[in-house]
Amino acid sequence: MRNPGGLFRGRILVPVAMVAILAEAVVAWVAASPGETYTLPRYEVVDTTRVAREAVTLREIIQRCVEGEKTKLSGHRDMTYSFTVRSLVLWKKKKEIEDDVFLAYEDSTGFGRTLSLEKSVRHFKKKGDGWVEDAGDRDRDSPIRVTADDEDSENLFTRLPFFLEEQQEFDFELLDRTLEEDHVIFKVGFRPRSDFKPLPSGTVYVDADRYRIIHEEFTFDRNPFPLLVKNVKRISRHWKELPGGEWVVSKILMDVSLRGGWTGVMPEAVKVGVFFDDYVFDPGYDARRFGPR
Amino acid sequence: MSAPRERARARRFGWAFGGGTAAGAACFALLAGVSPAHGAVSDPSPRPVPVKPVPVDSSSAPPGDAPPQPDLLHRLQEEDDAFFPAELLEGNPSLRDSTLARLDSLGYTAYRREAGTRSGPGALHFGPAARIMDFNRAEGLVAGLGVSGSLAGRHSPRIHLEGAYAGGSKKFRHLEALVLPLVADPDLRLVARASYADRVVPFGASRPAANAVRAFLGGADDRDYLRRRGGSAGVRLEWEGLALTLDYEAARESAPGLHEDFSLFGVLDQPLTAATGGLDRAAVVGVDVGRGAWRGWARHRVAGGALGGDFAYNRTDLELSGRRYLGRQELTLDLTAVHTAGRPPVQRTADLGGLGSVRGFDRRTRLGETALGARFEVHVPYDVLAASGVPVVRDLHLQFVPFADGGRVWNGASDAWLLAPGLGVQYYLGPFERVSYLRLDAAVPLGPDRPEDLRLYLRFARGLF
Repeated sequence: MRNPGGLFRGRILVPVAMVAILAEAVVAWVAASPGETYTLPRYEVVDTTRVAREAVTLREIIQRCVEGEKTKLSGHRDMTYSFTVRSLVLWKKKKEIEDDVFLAYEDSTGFGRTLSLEKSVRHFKKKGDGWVEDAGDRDRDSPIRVTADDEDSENLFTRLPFFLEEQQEFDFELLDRTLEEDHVIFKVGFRPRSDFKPLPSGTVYVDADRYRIIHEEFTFDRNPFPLLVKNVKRISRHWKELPGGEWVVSKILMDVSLRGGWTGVMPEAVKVGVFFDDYVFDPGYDARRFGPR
Repeated sequence: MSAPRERARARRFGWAFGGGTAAGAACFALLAGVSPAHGAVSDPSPRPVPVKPVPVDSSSAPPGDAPPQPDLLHRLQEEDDAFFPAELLEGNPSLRDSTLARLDSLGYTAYRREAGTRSGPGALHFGPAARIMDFNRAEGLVAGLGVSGSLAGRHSPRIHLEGAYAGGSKKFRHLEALVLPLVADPDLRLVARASYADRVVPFGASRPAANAVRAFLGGADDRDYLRRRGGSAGVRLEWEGLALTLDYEAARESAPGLHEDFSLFGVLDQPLTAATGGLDRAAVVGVDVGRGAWRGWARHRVAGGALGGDFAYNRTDLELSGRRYLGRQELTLDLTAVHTAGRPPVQRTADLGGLGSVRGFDRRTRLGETALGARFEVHVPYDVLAASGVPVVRDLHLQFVPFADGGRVWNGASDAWLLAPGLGVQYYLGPFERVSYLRLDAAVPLGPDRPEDLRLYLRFARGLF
């Protein structure tokens, strides 16, 4: 026998190995049963891996934002959407709620048309601590109207946020970074360079995935309308991602206090909400809905 | 916002900026490519590596099974919504739905008809006669109505008509303009245009933004104005921030010959030459350029010769204006250059001096063949008065604007330079374009030809950009 050891190993080890595999399978099957002991991978810290790369500067973040903003509607030629404006005008002893309905078409060439379709105004009077609707006034200020505005300056395809358009007017600051699921979010603040420029200060949140702005909050350190406005308490713009990957404005909210409210003639405050809905992409210009182009 | 408050806000949002784990911070840095201190990234975080399965009791909480937290976007929006009353946030979806359903069932045309509206594309829009409304020292108050009309779409012709009554001269003034878009692509726009007007307009280098205020305060007289009756026709091409224009103009020009005495500070007593009367026929080529905070334009005007008319001259105008920040200091510069040739009438002569030109000197104090002027201002960004803490004063919010004006005329009565430093103080009124600021300028004219040692101007100034 030239290799008794090999023969021994072949005859003995193979059956032993098969038994061991079978036993392992049984243990695994048992472990998988509910209420029983099971195993999980255990993790252990090994040597630190050191990496280094160029830091993204605030300036680069801003520049990437400019490009990122342009991708929010990328891949589309045009779109339609509706928006409703609710204005809450508050006097000392009365208030008014106005709703306006709009339908908008915009395309990537910069053309846009906005139809003002409907308006509804409701008046309320203060009675004790509550408000009572003045039904008699309801229809008086509610003319049905259709107007169109072909101005393209506010086109969502072509416009950038004002603080990106007029960067030289603002000082930017990287306030924070955070990890949200697998995305890094930059929190960037900005304020006018001059104490006298009645421009807004703000905080914007930037998703570093494609450097898109996902939330904006604004305030005014300097009153933009000192003759009329007491202060602008808050302005914010909400964004949302649609199932198709487009990022669109979902809501704009604003709260403004006015001067002269003590007279009872002028309103004390105006609160405005703009709600965007019904986004449809690449429908083409529908003359039946929007009139001749 | 202070750091503790910021951290509290972060905790409220469920973030872990700054106060989070080193591993989390390192993850930010690795994924974002930045370190918390903006430096090069070094990642000291441990890297998890599977080694050996160990038994775990089934009663232990499996990792990753914590209750799901709303994502950042929702948290931000919810916090924002909490600031506003519910009746604002609820909107009016039923009105929206019913309105859109009606539009879809009727279509645009029938919807408009049902609404009984006359506005919209193709309609007329009425308003004040904004282009010719004025108060000037020749005609007093000029006020009236205007109407604009167009068909739907950017390719349709647009017409604009204005009519106004001049209280001083008791004359009817009017303006008619027609714009016909020939090419209306987003990158290229070509329009043909024509206009006709009978009106009184200011002339000379000193044309403040709000001329009516100058006239009201007594900073002008009838010799600052020119009656112009005639029209123009031409084309304008816009492309990539550049605009080219070519126009033919024909107008009968004359001195108004009237004088409205009403002004807050009486009549100016400065010897000025009135406009020369005659028929002006000219071809005008122009270029407008705008890049960021810089704007420039050039015009070359050729009158007489084969074009006919009573005047034979050339006049070239160049103007460049811009803003630039040096740190927080906002600097503005306006440069003007005029060159004339031939025999221009008084109203086309190169000149310097006045509120809109070199402050501290009289209007048209220098007349010549060529003129060069510069205005430089520094808008101090710090609210110095607010920092003083003095009651009342700290709430004035007055901005200081040091300035320096200068210029020179060649081939005129004098070639001496005009120089005038000064200090302006301005108060912000609102975003009203040409009258955004109420400004008091104190100019100190220099040189032997200075009319006085200090000259004050109260005026409106342009804002914001």
